[in-house]
This record gives sequence, structure tokens and C-alpha cells, in this order.
Amino acid sequence: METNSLGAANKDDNTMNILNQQLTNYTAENQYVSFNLDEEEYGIDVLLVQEIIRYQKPTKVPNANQIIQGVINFRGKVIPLVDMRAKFGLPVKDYDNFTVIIVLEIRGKTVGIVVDRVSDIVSFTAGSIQAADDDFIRDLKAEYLKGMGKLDNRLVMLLEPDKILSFEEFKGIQEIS
Amino acid sequence: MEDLIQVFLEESQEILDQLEEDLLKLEQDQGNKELMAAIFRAAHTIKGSAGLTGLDDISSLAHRLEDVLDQVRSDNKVMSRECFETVFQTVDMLNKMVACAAGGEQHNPDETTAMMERLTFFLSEDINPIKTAPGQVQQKSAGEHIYRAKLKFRKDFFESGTDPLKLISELAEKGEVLEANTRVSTLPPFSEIDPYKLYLSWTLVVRSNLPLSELEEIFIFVLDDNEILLEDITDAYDITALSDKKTGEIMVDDGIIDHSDLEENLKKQKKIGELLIEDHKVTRRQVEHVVEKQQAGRRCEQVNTIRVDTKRLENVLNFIAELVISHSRVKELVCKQSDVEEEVFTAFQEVDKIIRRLQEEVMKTSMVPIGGTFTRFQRMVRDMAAEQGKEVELIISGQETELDKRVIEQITDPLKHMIRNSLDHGIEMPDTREAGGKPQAGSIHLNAFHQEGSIVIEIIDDGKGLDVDAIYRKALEKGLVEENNKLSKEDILKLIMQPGFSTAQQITDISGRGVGLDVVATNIQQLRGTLDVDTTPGEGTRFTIKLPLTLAIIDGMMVTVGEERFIIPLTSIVEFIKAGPEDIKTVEGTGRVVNMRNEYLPLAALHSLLGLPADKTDPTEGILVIIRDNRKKIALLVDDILGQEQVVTKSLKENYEQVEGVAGATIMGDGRVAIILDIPTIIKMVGSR
Repeated sequence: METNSLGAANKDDNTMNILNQQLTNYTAENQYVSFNLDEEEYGIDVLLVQEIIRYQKPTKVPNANQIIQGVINFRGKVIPLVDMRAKFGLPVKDYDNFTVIIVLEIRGKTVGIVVDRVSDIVSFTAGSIQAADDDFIRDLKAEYLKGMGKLDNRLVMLLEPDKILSFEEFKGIQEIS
Repeated sequence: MEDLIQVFLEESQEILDQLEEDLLKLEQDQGNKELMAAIFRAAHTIKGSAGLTGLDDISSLAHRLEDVLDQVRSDNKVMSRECFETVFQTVDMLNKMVACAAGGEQHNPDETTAMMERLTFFLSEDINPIKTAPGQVQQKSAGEHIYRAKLKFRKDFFESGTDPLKLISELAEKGEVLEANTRVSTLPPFSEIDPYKLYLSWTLVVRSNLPLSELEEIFIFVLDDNEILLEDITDAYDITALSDKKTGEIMVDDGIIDHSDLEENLKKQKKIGELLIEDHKVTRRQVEHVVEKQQAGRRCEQVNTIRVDTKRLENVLNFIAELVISHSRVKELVCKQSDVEEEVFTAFQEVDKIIRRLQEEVMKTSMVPIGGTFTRFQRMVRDMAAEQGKEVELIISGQETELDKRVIEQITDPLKHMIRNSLDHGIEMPDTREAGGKPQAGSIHLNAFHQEGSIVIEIIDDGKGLDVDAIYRKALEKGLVEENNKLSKEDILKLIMQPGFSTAQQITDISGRGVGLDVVATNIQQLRGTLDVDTTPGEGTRFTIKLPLTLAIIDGMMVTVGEERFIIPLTSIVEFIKAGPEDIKTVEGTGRVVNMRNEYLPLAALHSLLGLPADKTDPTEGILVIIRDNRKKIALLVDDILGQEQVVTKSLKENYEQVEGVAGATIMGDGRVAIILDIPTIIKMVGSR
């Protein structure tokens, strides 16, 4: 059991390291870091991703919003952790060795999002992205989606980064900035 | 260009501050040439750099100011009181204009024009006729023009049959010749002179009531072939303006020589070292040595100070903090192994020490002396005292005491208010003072010094002092204290910092702006400082502000609630108590109170305030931290105390948002984040429940 989980952690660390290495080289558009929440696969613009780090237990912030798990130390900065499961209304799941934090920089703010696991960096041709129009958003009640990316038989939901920040719980940030 | 403006705005702020300070000194010490020169230079610099950055309105106002100052300077005159007043107001306006420019706003041009006119009044009114030495000029009067004629005729001019002298005397008849200069440097050696050639050229300055065109008519026939330049220089003609120019430049302007002559001769000019060598007074080696020293000195001067964005400094500090954490992690990993050598351990300690030194040094870079802030109050005291008919001297000491720039920025307003307060309510009118056997002039003493890692600022006045009984009565009246409550003198004095308390008999323009001492006290508390008052009736009052040296580091007590750790700033903690069941009482409607030596304090549990699970919910099991703000004390229940820590504060706002009850966060030695509690809001939260 001991070795097993350690193995998983190592494997996960490897994925993380490879991805982090790739991150430094990626500059192109239409490339996304894909991650999983439950069975769903999501993508976030590669240019926004600062780093992918192992999950660490955050410090709780009193009186903070439900979806803010707390704050962590990211290279000397205190950054909030957004629980993506709570944000998308998914059932609570225990954190395991695959749980990671994707550190994003959106509009000058550094924020970490907690996801079940990261898989890889995917690129889409412009034609394979179906942009989210109003109907689409209304039907899916998913205003945080930028579009859907099709890759073979995978369907990746591409997140609109600005919308992550325009969520109600981030109102405070906007008022300040 | 943007950068240029930015630099100008930063610089001009400093220059104007200095200018005002110097003006205040000059007012006391008229005729001090050094001060006058410094003031003049300051105006000159503002004019120049404002012009350079395209802020023309600032430039022209500074120019006018410079004119007035220059007149005083070069005539060695005494400035009248009105003149000082106008100059002060000009400085105020310049300050305002700079602030406007910084905010990207347009300053009202009418105000500028009005101020310029007021300054001009002193120019024309106050002017002493300059003693007319031979070749010098009378001041121009209205309606007159001053023209400059530059006459450079062709070499073969005589062949045209015109006599240049005739033309010049004709010009002289049109008005009064103020200056006449002949350029003789073009004359060849005598042996080579061709008598049929014209070698000379002339420049004349003429004062005349006639328009320029009439003067031009004289030269109408020679205008085409020769270099004739006639211009109206009425505005520019000002002998005082010459004081800044070099002899050579003036000679060029006056047409005695031209630029090529000047350059040629400047080239010939030898350095003093060379001349000394020629005279065998020194050796070449000696000169070279001295020059080397001089250049090294100049290099040093250049790197003496640089401007750095504070953001950068913060980054450096962040990384140092990270370094501390990584370092302790490495240390832990290495020292876990059983066979660690003593040497390794010592080496780690060495690194520890160096990092700490580094941290301190970087912290120091954002420290500035408080003197600049202190001297700024001179002006305020001067103006206010004059307004109220009081005589007040502001004594300043400890101006070299350094503290965090951000603290200084935030303490300026509270200080300003307290000085106003002392002047308003403390210092009596001169006759009252005299009747009380005190010198007519009162004094307010501003003092700063370091004490046990904090900075202490004192505001001491020798006024009438505070009437403790009156304060007590007033507090009773306002319902701030209860009738049979026995209070010590200190406690009563603290009442004046309560909101809604003001002993001023009449509301003055200055102190009565609704900002009471309570606001000052709150401001100071926000800086994690304290404010104390002491008074002796008839002798004066002393306010003592104690502030942390820097906002970046705080002394805090680490406490735990459940799994979480919190930092409570030490300045807010009165003491810790362990309460027994008999000390806890439940009061109907208001919740629980705790009896601390017969003083009943409201009791609140930190875990329930913050909505966190706790290990100890029974107040008799946990520890009660007595915290206070400037109004009241409360007892706060926590699980345990971990100990005192010095922590580097981080803003939570930077990446998240301001959260109620949280002052900030810090990163602990193990790399984890701990929340720093904001005690004033915590106390408020207790009150509002």
C-alpha cells in the first residue's frame, strides 16, 4: 500500500514535471492545459498557467467565500485556492495523489485552482473549436465556457479565464482593482 | 516623454518642499545669501525642467517667481511681508499644479495668470533702480521699445559708396543708444590690413518710442546685400538675466565676438594644471594624481543614490523570505540524518545569520528620515499662528530618525491634525500667556527617537494643558462613562480619543473639521501604533505616538484555533488569562462576560467569530487573550498560545480580496501561511453580534 501510493505520487510528479517543462516552451495560441474534474475534461489557456504544483493543504481564511479553500504560499506570495469542484457544484471528493493546483495569472492576480488531475497540453486547430454562443451558454448554464474543443473522441471544455474572475465570489477583486 | 514627466513630478515635489523650507528660514534670516541662492536655484530648476517636460504653465509661473527672486537676490534687497506671502502662495500653487499634472488634470489657467500678475506687481513696484554704471542701462518704461541691431556689412561695402558710420548715427538719432559694441576680432594684423575693406561689424542696443519699421527704413538700401538684423528685444532685455550667462556667451549676444571666436579661444584655454606645470610649480605626475582623485570622486557621487521602484524592493524581500523558508527546509532534511557533522550545523547557522542580515539591509532601503515630514509643518504652524494672532514656535528634534516610508506617509495626516490641535486648544493667546507668567511665544516641540524597536514621536506643547475634571464632566454628559465609575487620570485622558468627544469651546476653521482625536487614534492603531496623552495643567500637554519601524514586519503572538494558526499583533494584546468557572458570567442579552480583577470584559470565542471548528469551546479550558483597541478591551477565547513571532506581513488583497477581520497573512518558517488578525474589526464584530 505504502509503495503503491508512493509510486502514484512519483508518477504524478513526473507528469507534473514534464508539463511544467513544456509550459516554459509553449507560447503558441490555441493550446490548452487539460485537466479533469470527475469524468469531464477541461482546458485552460496555456499562456495563463504559471505552474502546476502538488496539492497542499491551504490555510483557511475566515469569512471567505465557500469556494475559496483558503490561501497558500506560492513563491512568497499569498494566493487564494479556488476549489473547482465547489465552483462547478460537483460532489466533494477526497484529495489524492493526483490532485494538483494549477497556478494561473489572470489580470495581474495570481490564483490557484484545485483540480482532480492534469493530463497534458493539447492544441486545437481553429476549426476544431466550437465557440460558445449565447444559446449554447444558456442551454448548458455554463457562462464560464469559452467553447468546446474536439480532439479525436475527446471533448474538452475550454474555460473563459475572465469569467473565472467575474464569478460572484470574485467581485471583491474587481472592486479593488 | 512619460518617463520624463514622471521624473519631473517626483523631483519637483522634493524641490518645492525644500524651497518652502528655505523660504521659512529666509524669513527669519533675511539677507542670507546662501539661502537666497538656494531658493533662486530651486525656482530656476523647476522652470527649466517643467519647460523641458512641456508643462508650460508651471514653467512660466516658476519663471516669474525666478524673476522676482532674482531681483531680490541681485539687488540684495529685503523682501516685504507681502512679498513673502505672495511667494509662499506661488509655491503653494506650484505644488498644486504639480499635483494636477501628476493626476493628469489641467490646472485652472486663470489662477495661474492671476498669480503671475501678483508676482509681476513686486517686479515693477519693488524694483530699485539699478545703479547705472557706464555702459549700463536704465530700466525701460512703458511704451518704449528696446531694439537690437546687428550690423554685419560686406567686406567690399565701401565700394558701394555708403558710409556705415552714417547709418549708425542715423540709427542713434532715432532713440537712445544703450549699448554699442564693435567686433574687432575680425581685424587682420596691421600689416595685412587693406584700407579699402571693411573688417568691422557692430551690434547696437537702442531704446526708442518708434516702431521697428521706422528703424528698418534706415537700412532699406543695404538690407539685401548685407547681414542686417533688427529685432525687438524689449522683453528679453534684462540686465539681470545676464547673471547666469558666461562672459563668452554675453559677448556673442552683444556681437563683440561670434561663436567661432568663442570656440577658438575656449580651445586655447588651458586647464589650471597645465598652467601650473608650465610655471614649474608642480610636476605633471602631481597633477595627474589630483585629476585621478577628482574623477574617482565624481564617479562616486554619481552612484551615490538611485531611484528604485518600491515594488522591486518588495520583490527582493519576498525572495529573501522564500530563501529563509527553503533554507530551513534544507536544514531540516540534512539534520534529520543521524551522522551530521558539527561543521555542517555551524555552516547552516552561518547562512542563517547572513540571510537575516540581508533581510535587514533590504528593509533599511525603504527607511527614510522623518525630518522632511517635520519641517513641512513649519509652514502650517507659521500660517495658523498668524491667523489666530498667536505666537508659536515649532521646535524640531530627532529629524534624522528613520522609519518606513509607508509609515511616514500614513502618519503625516494624524501628525498634522495633532499639531493643529495643540496650536488650537493648547497654546494660549499671547496676553493670557503673559498674565500666566509664561513667555508670549508658545512652543510646540516635535521630537522623534527610537526606543526598543519602535519609533516614538512626541508632540509637546507648553500651553494650558488639559482640564482633567472638565473632560470627566463632559464624558459624563455625553454618556461615555458612568456616574459612579472611579477613573484614574490616565483613563480620563483616554476619553478624549473616544469618538464624539471634543472639548473645543468653539469650532475653529481648522480643528473643527469633524476630525477628532478618535480618528487620529484609529489611524495610529491601524499602523499598529499607540497614542498616549499626559498633561500638566498650566504647563502643557504631551502626546506620545509609538509606531513600529516598519509595516513589513510585525511582532505577533501565534495562537491556535482547531488546526489553524493565527497571529495577533502584540500591540493589541493586554494580557493572557486562564479563567475559572466562577469568573465567567452570562449577562442577559449581551452574552458572556469575564471578570478580570473586578473588571467585566465581554467574552468572545475566536472560533465562533471566524466560523471554524475548535478544540476548546469551553472558556475555562482554553486561554483568554485580552485584546484592546482605543475604545475597549475584550477577552478572546483561543485554544492555545504557540509563542511570540516576528513575521513578515503579506497582503491578502494583492491576489484575493480584503476579508473582514483579517489584516493580512504571513508565511511561516515551514512555508505555510498564517492569517494575521485585524483586532479593531474583530472587536467591532463582537460588538455587532
